[in-house]
Amino acid sequence: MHLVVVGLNHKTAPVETREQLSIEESRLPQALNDLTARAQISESVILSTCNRTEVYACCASSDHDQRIAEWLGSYCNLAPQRYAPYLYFLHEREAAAHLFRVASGIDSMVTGEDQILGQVKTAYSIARKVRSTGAVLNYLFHHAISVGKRVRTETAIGRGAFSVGSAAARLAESIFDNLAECTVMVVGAGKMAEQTVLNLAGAGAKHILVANRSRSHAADLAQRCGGRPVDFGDLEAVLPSADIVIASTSAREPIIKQPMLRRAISARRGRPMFVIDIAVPRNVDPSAASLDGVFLYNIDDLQAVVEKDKNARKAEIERAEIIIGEELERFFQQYRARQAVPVISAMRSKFEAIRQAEINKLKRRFPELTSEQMEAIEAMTRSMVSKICHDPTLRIKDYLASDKPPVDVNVLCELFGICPDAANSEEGSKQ
Amino acid sequence: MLSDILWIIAVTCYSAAAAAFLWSAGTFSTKATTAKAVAAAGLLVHAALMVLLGFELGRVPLTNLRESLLFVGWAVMAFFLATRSTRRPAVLGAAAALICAALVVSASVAPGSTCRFVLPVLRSRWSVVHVAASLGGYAGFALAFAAGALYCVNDSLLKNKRVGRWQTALPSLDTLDRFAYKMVALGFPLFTLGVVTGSMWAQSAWGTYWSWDPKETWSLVTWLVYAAYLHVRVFLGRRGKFANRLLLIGFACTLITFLGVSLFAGGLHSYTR
Repeated sequence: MHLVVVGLNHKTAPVETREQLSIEESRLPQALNDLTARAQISESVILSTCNRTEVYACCASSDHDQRIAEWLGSYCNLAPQRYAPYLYFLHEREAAAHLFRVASGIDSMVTGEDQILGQVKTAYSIARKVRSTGAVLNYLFHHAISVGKRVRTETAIGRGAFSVGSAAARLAESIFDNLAECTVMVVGAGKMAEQTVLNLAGAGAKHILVANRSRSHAADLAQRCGGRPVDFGDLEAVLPSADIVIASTSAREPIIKQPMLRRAISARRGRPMFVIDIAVPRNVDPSAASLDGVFLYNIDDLQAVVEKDKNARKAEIERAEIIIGEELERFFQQYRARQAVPVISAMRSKFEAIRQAEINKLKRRFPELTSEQMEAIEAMTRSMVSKICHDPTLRIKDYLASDKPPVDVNVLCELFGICPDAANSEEGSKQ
Repeated sequence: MLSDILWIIAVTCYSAAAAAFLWSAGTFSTKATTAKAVAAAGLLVHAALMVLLGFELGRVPLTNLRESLLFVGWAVMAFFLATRSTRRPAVLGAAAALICAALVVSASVAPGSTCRFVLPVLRSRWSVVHVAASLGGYAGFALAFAAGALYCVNDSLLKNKRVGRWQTALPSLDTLDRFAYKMVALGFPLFTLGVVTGSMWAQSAWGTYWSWDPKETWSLVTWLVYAAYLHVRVFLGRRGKFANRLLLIGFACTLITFLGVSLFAGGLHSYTR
């Protein structure tokens, strides 16, 4: 049994090629069946997102990877020279390590992002539904998903802000206890404002007011984020009730001036106010930043937070790699130990079959044996078989679980004249 | 001796709790359940220690500096654990556990007679209430100080846009503000009760309700600062930096009242007899 990954991602391939080789979720079951039939591999999972298309497979030998590559091109109707240079082929340990990195978000375009773990889970569950996975890939994917979780809980790789909007939400949570009790006011209705307010809503904000010079724009945005529109003329009157203000109009000069904010903050009796100015040119008078209780962040400040968090996440990659190394060791040890199971069961069933055959022969030759005598013979032969099997069973387990097995599985099979493949696929379908 | 062992266990628990709180702050854990459990274990051992001391001495162990420090430390942790859990409690918890550990350690080296004899003047029904209530008040003020100081730190970090990893671990301004207020709301009535019962006791022991000795003067000052804080918070409804700065001043006064006067100024209340 041989683990293989064939695929391409955002680091190796341009977006056009990725588009052409991507396989929609709804087509995956059919693609998996096609792959199994045409490339003759025993187990497969296809992971296809906008940043990668990868085929994880378990096949009889390492040269099956070319067949998978050929299948991928023909399935997506692409000539080999168009995609072959972008493909990577990973085997055994590298293949498993790659999946662990992908699930942990290390291989993602945005380090540590969360979506990929969900995508790995989906890809696996689709493959499982069409029964294209077996003992090896089941075990590998279960392990990979738990590695993804472990890396995210034990390192800070998935923490911090991924966008300006989420940076704003994180800062808001540093100021206010419960965003559900806060009033968010959006002034203007740009794309960026929308992204920010949706992030705040995702973090729990419920009372959202939208003020825009154009009432219809205000109403539109209010509807999308579950807020309510207010008159632009009432801005100053409403300002003191706003805990979080998002300014994003196209005005050429500040529309929220320092005295306006000073009056607001004194009406709020010192309750802090988070003012997010994502407009360029700026909508909020920069001198307002010095007011006690006003926390004024402009687009550059938020961008700096995103950048800083990004670097912090990158710094966590090393810690994540240590965890992945540990988990790889664990995975392969258990994976190798599992390889022993079909060999041992094949050996035992072969000996059992010999025993049965000999007993039957005996019965034919001596029909006069009493049932008591037969029972004694049964017991004796059974105990002989199990004593003969005892040492080889232990040795096979030891050999196959060790890092560098002194004996190859194939040698063992030849030695006992057995073929564990049948037993192996039986175990796979049981899972 | 059993009490020595309990003493060591209590300090170990509090230090371990402080480390565990810091660990969960560093890993952004939201609950800090383990740290709280360790701190609670410390609190139980600490309580057992005080009861044991009481039995050994045959009196309520609230007469000298050593016993007072021990009691304040206990009250600090008890108040912290009794408040409904806030969001991101880890840094506050670490502060409480460190204050506690420091108090218990300094209690172990503080002067304190193990004498069973108590001055006749200290034998009064008011004495236990007076001492326990005042010390409880100090504990509330200490926690309010920790929250107020963290508020000022977080406020200035946010203002200067230094929002890195540790800033993220701090509780929000709102949380700190509310926690500090709760602690003063708890400590102030206790402290007031301490002052009132103190003057009752003074009347029965010294024949006068108020004699302007340094401790009395400073406790009045302390009382006024916290009264001002509560007025600012409750009647003016003001929160934020101003109110939290008052907490820092208030705690400075508390320290002078509790320790400064007794250790350096002498007077009727001196612990160092």
